[in-house]
Amino acid sequence: MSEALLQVKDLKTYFYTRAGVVKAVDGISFDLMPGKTLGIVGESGSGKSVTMMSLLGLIPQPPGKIVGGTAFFDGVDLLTLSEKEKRLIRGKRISMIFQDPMTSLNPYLKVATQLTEVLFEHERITSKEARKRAIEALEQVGIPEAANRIDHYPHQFSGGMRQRVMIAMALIAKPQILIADEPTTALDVTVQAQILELLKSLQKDLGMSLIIITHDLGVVAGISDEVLVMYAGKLVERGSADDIFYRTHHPYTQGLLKSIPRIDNDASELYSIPGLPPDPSKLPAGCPFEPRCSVSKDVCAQVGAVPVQSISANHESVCYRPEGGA
Amino acid sequence: MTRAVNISAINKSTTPVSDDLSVEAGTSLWADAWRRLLKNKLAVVGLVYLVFVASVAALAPFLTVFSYEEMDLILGAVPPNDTHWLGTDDLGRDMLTRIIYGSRVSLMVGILATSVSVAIGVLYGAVSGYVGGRVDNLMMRFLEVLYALPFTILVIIVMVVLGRSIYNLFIALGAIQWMVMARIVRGQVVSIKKMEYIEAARASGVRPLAIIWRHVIPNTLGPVIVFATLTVPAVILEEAFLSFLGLGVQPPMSSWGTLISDGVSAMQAEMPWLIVYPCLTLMTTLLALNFFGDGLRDALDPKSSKD
Repeated sequence: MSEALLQVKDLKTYFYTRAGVVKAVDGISFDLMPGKTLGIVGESGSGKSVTMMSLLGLIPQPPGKIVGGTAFFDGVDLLTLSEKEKRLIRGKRISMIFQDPMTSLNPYLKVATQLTEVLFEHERITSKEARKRAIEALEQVGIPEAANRIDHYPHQFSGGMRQRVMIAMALIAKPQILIADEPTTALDVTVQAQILELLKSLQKDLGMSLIIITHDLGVVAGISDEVLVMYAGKLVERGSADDIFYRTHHPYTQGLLKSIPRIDNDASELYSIPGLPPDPSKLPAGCPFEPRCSVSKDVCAQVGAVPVQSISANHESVCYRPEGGA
Repeated sequence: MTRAVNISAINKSTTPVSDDLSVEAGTSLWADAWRRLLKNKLAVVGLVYLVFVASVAALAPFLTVFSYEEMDLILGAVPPNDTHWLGTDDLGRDMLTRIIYGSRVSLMVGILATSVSVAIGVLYGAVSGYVGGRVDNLMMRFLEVLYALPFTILVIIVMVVLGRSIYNLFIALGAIQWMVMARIVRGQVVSIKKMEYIEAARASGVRPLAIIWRHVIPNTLGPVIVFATLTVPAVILEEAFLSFLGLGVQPPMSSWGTLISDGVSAMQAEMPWLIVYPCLTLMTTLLALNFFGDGLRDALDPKSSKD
């Protein structure tokens, strides 16, 4: 087994608010292999984005604080780096694309300026060379007439095209890891498929690792090697895409899968997991999913950490329920 | 007599209004803005008028026949006539000459004091808003303390520290006016820094100062320009007030502000030309400034282009 490119262990990011301590990320661990794709799935507020922001040092502090854990990237712990050292990694070695391409580009600056800015920040490069690289990056993400389009403003691009520009911006410095935070949420379905295809092919061409954050299991299914399911800041289930989809163990994952609307289902009402995600500052003492769980037992509500069950070699589930379900 | 200013020559020298509607990009934000500005007729009219007033001010010694300071007490105040187009004041000085010379001080004070206030205000507000937290709190409370001090005292302090000269007056006025600007900019920045493109810039490792300069400040320009065009008349009038107190322009030098305040007393003596003409000049200039400022704001917003 090859060495992991990014090794996150027991990451804890808490927010200290007036309402109490919010454990946004509470003990998340994962390994990211070179050239592989990791999918992180969960509802809004489950801590997916905060996990990534913690790694890049983009958590506003205060109120946020990384309380514990390590995140080794290429032999260095990202969490102990100074602000300046982190800045040299961001955009150059780990870059990130955001959910909403409509607001992720500065309306006052030309695409060219925003693309080359990343290069000027990280490399000694002439403006002519930077421009050439920027045009190449736009061509790489499939923007037609890149040499022309580069001098346009963001509002002259459609949503899908803007997301391509964002991807070009993230890739221009040839990072080793690309984090995509809900890259397709704000796009319509046909464009979503195109962007996912693009990410997949770019990953293959550039040999980088990809972390894709989403609440859409469909996105994860097509693209991920490994899937992490999060709930209320905690890991719920982890495994290969096949493990998660076909050998689902955790009741929460099952609920998520059941709530995907199916075109061949005539049911008049769509399935949803009953209840709401817990208030992050008042989590249940035991399993955080216990109040909404359809198969919960007395033991689930008891104070204490829920045991991690090893289902198979790379498949883990954080649940009291014995393997195979009951 | 050739005192007349050749208006048509100035008009001809302006660039013709561009009707190039293609989306093809220019070279920079400013080049694009210029192209869009030229399409706005009112803004162009305003700009032409301002250039005209500024040229007249610059060329004052060559355009005027009379001296702005020599008195003719025998002549006294006469209404507008063939020799004195805008009449003379009670000391027999030609009003047109005094207005033209006054425009030198007033335009300078308008431009310099406003530039000083924009420079300080934008920087202070941007840093305060962007850094946020305790620094923001401290910077804003300091500003409020300054704000609570009476304006006149502050100017006097600044003038005493810097020494009394007309240029220090500009700086002193700018040093007062920046406070409102700083608040406006800070408010803008607080909302702008939550935008995703700031987050994206941070995620690509852009330095904080570069983010402020390249991403935050351009996005605050709209309100800044509008407020700057409002600051110009404010400082012109404040200069008049300070001159009245003896802190600003000293007689026999004139400024629009001093001419207007002199003219107010002349109203009772039924010499309306002493107030009407300085006021008209000030008014038209401010109107032109507002048209131009409005056009500039629209031009600087890439989304406002209709093509």
